[in-house]
Amino acid sequence: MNDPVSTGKQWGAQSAGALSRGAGGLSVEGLTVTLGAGGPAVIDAASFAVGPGETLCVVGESGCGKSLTALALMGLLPSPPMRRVAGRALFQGRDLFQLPPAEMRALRGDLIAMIFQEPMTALNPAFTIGDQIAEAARRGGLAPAAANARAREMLGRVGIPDPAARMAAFPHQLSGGMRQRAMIAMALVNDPALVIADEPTTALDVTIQAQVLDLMRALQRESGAALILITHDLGVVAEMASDVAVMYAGRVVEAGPAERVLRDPQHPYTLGLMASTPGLGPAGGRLAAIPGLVPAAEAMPPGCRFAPRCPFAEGACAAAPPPDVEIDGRRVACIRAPLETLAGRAA
Amino acid sequence: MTRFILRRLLIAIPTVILISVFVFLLQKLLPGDPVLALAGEERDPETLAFLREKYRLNDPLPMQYLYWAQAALQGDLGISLRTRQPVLELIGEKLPVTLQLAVMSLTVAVAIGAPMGVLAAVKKGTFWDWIANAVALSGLSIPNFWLGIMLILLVSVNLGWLPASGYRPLSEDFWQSIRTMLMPAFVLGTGLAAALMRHTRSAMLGVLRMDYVRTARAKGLSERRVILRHALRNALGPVVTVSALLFGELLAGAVLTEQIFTIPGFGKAIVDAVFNRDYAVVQGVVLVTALAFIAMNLLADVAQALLNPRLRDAP
Ligand SMILES: Nc1ncnc2c1ncn2[C@@H]1O[C@H](COP(=O)(O)OP(=O)(O)O)[C@@H](O)[C@H]1O
Ligand code: SF4
Ligand SMILES: [Mg+2]
Repeated sequence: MNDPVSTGKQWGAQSAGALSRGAGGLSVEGLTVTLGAGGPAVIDAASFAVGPGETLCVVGESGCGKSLTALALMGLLPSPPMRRVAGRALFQGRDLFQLPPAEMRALRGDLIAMIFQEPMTALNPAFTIGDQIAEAARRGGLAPAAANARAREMLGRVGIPDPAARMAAFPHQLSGGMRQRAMIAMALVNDPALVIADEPTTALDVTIQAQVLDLMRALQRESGAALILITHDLGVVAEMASDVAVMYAGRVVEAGPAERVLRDPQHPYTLGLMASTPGLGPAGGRLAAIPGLVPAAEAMPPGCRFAPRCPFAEGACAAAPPPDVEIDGRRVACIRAPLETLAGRAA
Repeated sequence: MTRFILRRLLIAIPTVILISVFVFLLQKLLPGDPVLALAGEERDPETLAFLREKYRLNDPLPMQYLYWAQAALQGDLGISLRTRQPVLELIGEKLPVTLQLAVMSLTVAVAIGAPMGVLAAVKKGTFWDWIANAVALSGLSIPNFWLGIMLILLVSVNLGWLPASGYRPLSEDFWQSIRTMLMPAFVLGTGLAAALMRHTRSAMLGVLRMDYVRTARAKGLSERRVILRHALRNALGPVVTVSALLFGELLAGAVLTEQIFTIPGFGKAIVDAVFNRDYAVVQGVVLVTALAFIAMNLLADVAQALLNPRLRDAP
């Protein structure tokens, strides 16, 4: 089993009493989700951790299982067909996966909040944003009038101009960026200790993306919440992450402090992602997409799931899933690690 | 919103004109000569010619239409050939009866169909879904006249709970009126509940897949609130539209059911009128029914816009 200690952290194990409401890291170990009973593992023994006030970026191409990981943590997996079959998720001394549904629901939208990718479809078109944010605040225990005031205050805090007027706006009457700000206001209205944001800027224009990321960073600094930020863009990781977990085909293939991983990637997949990211690829070199596609759930290769696309692959790679090794302060699942690139440079 | 309604009204005008032309031509298409029917025993050619002249039946067809439409706009739909009663007055007697039956039937249909549809969608693929579908299927496949007769036998004849006939207008005897209409409303309502259940179910299934339903759950709302507020509110559009269309259908009268329970509504009136070649009555009833249908469509559109803020803003 993967050991999150190797990322240098063990968050979430502290007892709830020792922590203020704002504090709450999360430590996930061996999360496994299968497609149907006994089906392929779309999330395979994923482990990662994030501390209070820190940002863990979960990065990987589309279809690597990032959203399912987030939904599993929220207790909102689409099941059927998805089934969580193993794993622990320690948060304020409790394992989220062992909580009765009613207790998990009590945490959702309160201590643990989620921001979704597409604010147009994720907000209810039939209700005003003020209504939707206040609904979340009432759920946190506020009386209607106080909830409305709180919703207005949150709209202001996320930088929506003229919050009082915007309360009455329907989602379709706002721009994409404003919608996502409203979504963020809704998620943060109860001052959560853990925020999970699933590609919150993917649907936005580049300039708006930067603004929304700035906003999230500022709000996190104020609240001290732990943030799990899901993205397919290593550029976002470079901007935001204190830690990073690189996911490929349902497995965390490399995890560690963002700065180390980005400076010196040790998994061929991380290397490939970097080579295809503007600003992070080889200096002066061409951007090169990783050839091939992420395998579908039903067609996972045996052994290392990256083998069919890996330029470093050798015979042994397809034999068995590569075990985690610890290199230079991060965890890597590759039998060829440390890569020659590192060895060559180190020599 | 006012602009939205005005625009819908404008769009409805050509439809109304088209329908009025059709209703007017109805008289020309139906077999038999209205003048012969008017004259009754009288076969004197001079009388017939006089009548033709009086009713301007010798004028070109478009002119005849204009005369007819002008009169109709002023509320003059002619008189019944049989009873000599003004058609408008006749409609004024029948319409409240049919309206009452339609409202009560739709109430039954919504009260049964909508909750069953929601339940079937939420419990999709389970025992409850299966039950709801089985009930809907039996509602669709049991003929109204058979159900009506069975109800009379059971509830009126054997149990003596409700009268099988003896309708009185609401204004004259409220409870008797409601009591006599309970069974026919149940017969018609259960038939329509099936359609409503299926539309509700499919609308809910579509909405339950939406991202905002997942968002509502992520907010920690109770499942009840997620379904009855966030999902149902968005599934209501198609359900309201179907209800309005069903209501329009009910306004056309339910011939067999009215016959079985001897309810003096549109269904019975139009059958009598057709058999008696009472053209003016047929025209009048068809015209009013068609207008009611258009009004229902309009109402559905407005309800749709009230439910869906995006439509309200549409230019
Ligand atoms: N409801 C579902 N039913 C079947 N397969 C699914 C479902 N949701 C996701 N998957 C599959 O699980 C894998 C991971 O999906 P996802 O977590 O959405 O990826 P990501 O968010 O990284 O793009 C993909 O292969 C996807 O096709
Ligand atoms: S284990 Fe083999 S195939 Fe997998 S990433 Fe490492 S070198 Fe490539
Ligand atoms: Mg995703």
